[in-house]
Amino acid sequence: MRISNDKSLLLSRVCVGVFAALLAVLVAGAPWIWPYVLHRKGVVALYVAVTYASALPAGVVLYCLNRLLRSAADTDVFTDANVRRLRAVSWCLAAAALVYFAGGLFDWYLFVLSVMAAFGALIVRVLKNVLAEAVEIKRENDFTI
Amino acid sequence: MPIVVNIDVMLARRKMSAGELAEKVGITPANLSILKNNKAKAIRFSTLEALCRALDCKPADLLDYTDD
Repeated sequence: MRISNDKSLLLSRVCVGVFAALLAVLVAGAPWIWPYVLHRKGVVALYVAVTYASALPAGVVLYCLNRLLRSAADTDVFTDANVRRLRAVSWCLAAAALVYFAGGLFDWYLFVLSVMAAFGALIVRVLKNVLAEAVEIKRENDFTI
Repeated sequence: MPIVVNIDVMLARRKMSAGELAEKVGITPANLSILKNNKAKAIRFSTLEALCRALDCKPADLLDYTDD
């Protein structure tokens, strides 16, 4: 199935909205959700703490993704602002990885999340480097007469 | 940038307006302004050729190198 660019953008924005709603629900209901989900009652407090500690980076990531998608919809992608947003996303993922790593000291399941978040941070960082170069190339093209 | 574009000088010598030059060369006045104000990052050979033809000069008359 071939999805047009506009529909793909819309789908991405809907997904960001869904994740934002999930984050809100998780933050609001963490003390009630984790005891229901976890079978090991001893780690509930740890998971609630990790949820709250990683909520801010997750919120910033979702905000930046929304702004990135908005700039893509406005066909204004190759900008310094978008490079800054990708950098923010990368650092937020790195911060989340640190939080999960700290949590992993008490429950090793969180180490898996830590590695995943760190790998995500690396991927976004590479994308940021590529976009920064693309912005420079576009600037040079724009000023080639 | 140490490369300086001396279009102003040549325009004065040829007693030509910037708008007239832009029209002869086939570039927009905005792009000519970028060239005049040394904001350009690069210049195409085709643009340089058109400038030289319109101003009846050599590339060296338009471009200069200054050590910053």
